[in-house]
Amino acid sequence: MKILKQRWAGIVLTALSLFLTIGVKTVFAACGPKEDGSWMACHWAEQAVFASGIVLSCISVMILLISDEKVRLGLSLAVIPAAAVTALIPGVFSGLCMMTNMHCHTVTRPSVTVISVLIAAAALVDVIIKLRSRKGGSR
Amino acid sequence: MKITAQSVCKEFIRQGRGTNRFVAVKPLDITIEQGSLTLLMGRSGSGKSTLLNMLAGLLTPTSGKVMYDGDDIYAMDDEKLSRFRNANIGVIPQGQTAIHSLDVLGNICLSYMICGTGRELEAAYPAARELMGRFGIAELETARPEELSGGELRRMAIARAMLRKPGVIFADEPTCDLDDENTELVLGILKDAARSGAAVFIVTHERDAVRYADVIYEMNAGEIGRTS
Amino acid sequence: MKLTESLSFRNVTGRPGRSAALVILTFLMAVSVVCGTLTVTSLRTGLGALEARLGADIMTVPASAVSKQNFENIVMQGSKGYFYMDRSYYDKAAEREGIEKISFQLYLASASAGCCSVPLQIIGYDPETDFTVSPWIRKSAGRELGDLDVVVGNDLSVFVGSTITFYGVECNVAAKLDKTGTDLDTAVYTNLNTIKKLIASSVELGMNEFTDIDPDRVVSCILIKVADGYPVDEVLNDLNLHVRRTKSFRTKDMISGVSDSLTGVSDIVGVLMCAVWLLGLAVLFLAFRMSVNERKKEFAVLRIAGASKKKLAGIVMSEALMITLAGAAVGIIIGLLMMISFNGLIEESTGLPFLLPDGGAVALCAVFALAVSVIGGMISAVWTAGRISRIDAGVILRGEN
Repeated sequence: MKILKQRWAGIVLTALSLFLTIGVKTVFAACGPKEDGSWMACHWAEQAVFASGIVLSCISVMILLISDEKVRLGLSLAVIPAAAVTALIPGVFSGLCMMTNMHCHTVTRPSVTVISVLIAAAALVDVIIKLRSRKGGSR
Repeated sequence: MKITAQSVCKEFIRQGRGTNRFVAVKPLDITIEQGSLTLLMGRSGSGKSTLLNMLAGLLTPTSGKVMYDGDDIYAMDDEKLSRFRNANIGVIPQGQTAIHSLDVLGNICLSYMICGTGRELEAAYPAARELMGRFGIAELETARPEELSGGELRRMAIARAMLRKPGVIFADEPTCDLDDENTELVLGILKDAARSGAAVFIVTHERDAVRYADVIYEMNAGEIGRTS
Repeated sequence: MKLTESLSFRNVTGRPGRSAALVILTFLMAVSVVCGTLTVTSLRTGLGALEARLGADIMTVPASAVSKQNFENIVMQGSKGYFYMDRSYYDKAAEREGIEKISFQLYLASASAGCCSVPLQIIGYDPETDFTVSPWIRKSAGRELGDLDVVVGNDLSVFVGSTITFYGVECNVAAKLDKTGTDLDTAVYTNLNTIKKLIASSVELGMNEFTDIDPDRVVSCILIKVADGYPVDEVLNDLNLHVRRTKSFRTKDMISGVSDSLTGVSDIVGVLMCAVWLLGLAVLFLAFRMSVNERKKEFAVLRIAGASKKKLAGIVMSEALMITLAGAAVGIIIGLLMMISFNGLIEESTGLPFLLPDGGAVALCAVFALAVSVIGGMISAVWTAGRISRIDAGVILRGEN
């Protein structure tokens, strides 16, 4: 129970980041190659999200494993902008397919957005709790 | 504060085959003087706790009056009686009575948390800490009730009842399930409270308590008699 | 007293496990209400947009090309099929009685649209006679379409002012249409001259399955608005009887299939929503009751410390309020996030016109969900609050020997 209280952020962040990283290549991958074998625009968004997902996963695992409170707080802080930027990759930093009823618009983009927002929110909650317990502690 | 009960009596209606009335406390008069420690002894089931609850403003008598310095407390409405209890009456109930979501300091300051502003609550902390020091639980300020021993919990409950320096303190079996050392400690604390001017009323069947008492009553099957 | 110092707040935060379970429950209630109401509203909005877009009372197509089933597909799913009939049918239809306005459209499917391998439907209309599409094309483009101008559906992510190439003909994107929540959102609209050029080009390139058509002599679909005083059914029968080798449909009938399934879906969503809500209410009721019952003694202690009956009821109610408010707020945020993000997927997978309403209506849904969840939580706590305010502190404490 105590472990859960201390490590929930690491567990949640690692699970979400891994889901994002693996999912963007499998469950909610962007559109496949065209008949002539060339990739559509959304493939590059998928690659960028994949790269960003690896970074997020690494940071999350560090949050899970490192025991120093201050380092963990710093890592949680770093997750927030990283996740926010990841949410913006499909469609903003990298274009998607032309028709918005295609897979990359209906599945990939919303999945990436939702998971990234959840990652950022979890990190934010963790930071707020950590800051409050640093400030508080005495009445 | 002087408490006078005039022919108070309590009947309970027992559910069962037909309704039969059960008289827990037969009409009786009792006076509790300020600055004295009054002991009420008797077997369990003799109506001691019922009488205590009626005197403490927690149980409306079937008939009769309970007067605090001449004011009939059961003539007040619930809101007014609650405020009166909050300010003037400290009750140490039977058994373990901690609020589990609060730490020890929070439990002791409960009466300020119920009636009072945030500032009043803050202002009560020093007095609470002082009481904790006197009762030997100073280092338990931020502990949770489930981490405390029976004796510590009882001392916490007494500190809670005494925080507002009430004119009247009621204690229902305050030494039950305590060891000798804690029994001495608790009775000593209550005796001190009586010496400093409060009216203290204790229900107990602890024979050792007699040494601390100024007045002793004995209760038997709803009837009361003064023994000393 | 500050909120964080109040007894209710400490009761809620002092028992994280119990509170979390209750918050999750209200969270689920709020998610179901916000998603449910938003789904129903979106389907209604979508149907409205679709009706507005269709415009005509009757549509006539070549009998050889269609059964009713796939004609519905053409309208609803933007089926990529296309077909032609001789223009003489149009002239014949125009001679019938009871017709106020008549126009025609030419269809073509693109082979490939630049980036994506899925073909688009290109619809050409006659600016001189058209009464269905030009009003909203004028609205979004702000002018009449010139030659080689196209207006694209909302699902095509091309910018206004850029170009798009079909069969080697470069066209200018003049405007983008509002969303309808159907596959009409992937259609491309253009005027008669442009579509003729495109059809000619597709025939030249050998990419049109109709190899020998003359774009000037064919139409794909005839659109008719019935004059006032003539029943639509009569005109429809008249057309089906006298303009041979064509098939005429009431556009309303085509939508009615959609509208029926839409009513069905709305009903199911509504029932599910009510079920979740009632179930949540019952569980919350039991949970509040249990959480107070196990703390009966604590409430008796509060009572002896000077809490009035009203105060006890207030503590129960504000605990319930904090929990439902927290659960509902998180539930609504997550629910909205999911619905707004995945609305494209819902539209694709249900095949129904699914169009999120405007921001105001979405906000209204959120407020509704918040109110319903919080009121639900309050209702389920009221009984417990009433009961606890009647507890007899003396009796409870006496009973604990």
